[in-house]
Amino acid sequence: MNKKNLTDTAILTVAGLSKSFGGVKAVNDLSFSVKKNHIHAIIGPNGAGKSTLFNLITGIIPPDEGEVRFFTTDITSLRSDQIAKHGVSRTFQNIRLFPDMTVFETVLIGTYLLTGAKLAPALLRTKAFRENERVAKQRVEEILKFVGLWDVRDEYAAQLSYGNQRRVEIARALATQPQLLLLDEPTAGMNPKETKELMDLFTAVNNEGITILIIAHDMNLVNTLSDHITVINFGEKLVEGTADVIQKHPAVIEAYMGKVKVDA
Amino acid sequence: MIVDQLINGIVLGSVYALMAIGYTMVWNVLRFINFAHGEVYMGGAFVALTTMYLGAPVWLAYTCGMLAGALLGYLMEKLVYKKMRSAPKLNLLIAAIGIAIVLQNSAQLIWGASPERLASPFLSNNINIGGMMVNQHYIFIIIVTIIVMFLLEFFMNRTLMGKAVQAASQNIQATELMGINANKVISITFAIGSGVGALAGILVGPVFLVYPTMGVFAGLKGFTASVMGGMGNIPGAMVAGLMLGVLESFAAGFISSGYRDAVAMVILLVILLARPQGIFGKVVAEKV
Repeated sequence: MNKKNLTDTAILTVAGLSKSFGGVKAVNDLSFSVKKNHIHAIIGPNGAGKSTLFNLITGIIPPDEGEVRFFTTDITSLRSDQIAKHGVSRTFQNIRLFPDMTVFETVLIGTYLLTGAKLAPALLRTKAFRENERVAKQRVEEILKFVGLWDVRDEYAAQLSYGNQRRVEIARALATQPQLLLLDEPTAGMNPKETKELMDLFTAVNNEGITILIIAHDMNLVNTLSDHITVINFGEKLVEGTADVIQKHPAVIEAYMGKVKVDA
Repeated sequence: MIVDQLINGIVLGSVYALMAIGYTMVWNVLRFINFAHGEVYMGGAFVALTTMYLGAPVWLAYTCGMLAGALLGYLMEKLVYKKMRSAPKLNLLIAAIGIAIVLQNSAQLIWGASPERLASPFLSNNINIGGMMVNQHYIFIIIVTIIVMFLLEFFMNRTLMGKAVQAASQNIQATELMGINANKVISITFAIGSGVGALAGILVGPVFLVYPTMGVFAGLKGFTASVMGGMGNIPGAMVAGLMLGVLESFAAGFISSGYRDAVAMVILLVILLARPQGIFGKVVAEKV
């Protein structure tokens, strides 16, 4: 494993992004950038627009205004699958698995991009196809060992413990060979032990050179892992900076604790 | 007599099974019943007929019919259903019925209403199985059905594209995030399901003849079989199709041939009342 090499290159740039649902501005003129190899945390109160932001970045919903760039490529109007091809992968706040597939099969789907999955070679079982298949399966094995799911590879993903289901989701995301991994509240509902284990996993993933953008509520996790934090509230950026800066910032304290009224 | 009816039933059941596959595959990715599937069955048979009139050999005509069916299903999805992706499912059902009516009448306009027989190189020969004479074309239908089922099973479970179809049926959004183009998966599903449905129409063409409304009852039977097998369950659809064919054939042979269609409808009613998830379906506990 390489020692973490923080860079100044922006892997993801969000510029002036807005999205309204009815009259509610879920994301409002939001701009920030994620630097390569960082673990970048997005925090904010419930309903601040964090998950909407992820849906906008990954092309699940189109923005009203603004731009999303991956390195220098404009990915704003691309479909989810095209964005995945560029190297952006994600997990969901509510785990979304393929309930009728085993862990191995689920992660194998993630290698679809790797092998191209053309029909004719598959039916004819050409040499190139068999080689691709071998590489894909080997890669699934590596990933499952890496996230600690190799022993349960033949079990149905939906029957695993909550913590392990999250691992399956992460493994599936890793199988697409992302450069940027988006994690939407990955430790929500986990016990402290599971949370600790997942935090170690995120560090390991990050050490492999994968940039992580993470939404989290657990301030211990945020402060321990993140190189950079963006705080959003009511769809707007409140402040950003390192953990030390954020913790002491009056606007953050106000957003979380409420305004202390002095002129009562 | 029993063996005789059993063979008839298996032949009929093969056709229902091939039809049921189309309904079930489409249900898998879009969660709606394509009620125009019977017209794909009819369209494929007519294209095979026309190709044959133009002087093509039988195998080429059959292949053309099947490809035309696949194309018809593909276009149906691209031109109509795709535009209604976010509409309520009822609108899709009504659109499907509309497409069915348009296609039936177009076929009547182009080919006329009188039934015509599709040629088969096997139809005039019988084969002796254990002292009983069985039409060679029946054997042909059974063999082709078995081959198609094996190919489909291989495609769905042994290829990554098949896995992608399965993934899309379980969670389409997560599938897209794997870099898989869901539109492509849906198109492929429609094309394969429709190609198989058209094949069913072509296979029965030499026996039950080809006419514009031939897909109405065949479609209903295929739909019944897909419900019996559990919607979305491909192996279930295959087995249920065969079961339905055999049951129908026994009812026709031992009670009265007038009850043939009634049997399918009674089975459909009973299944929907007693076991809506189908014989081979599983109860899905919806999380709230």
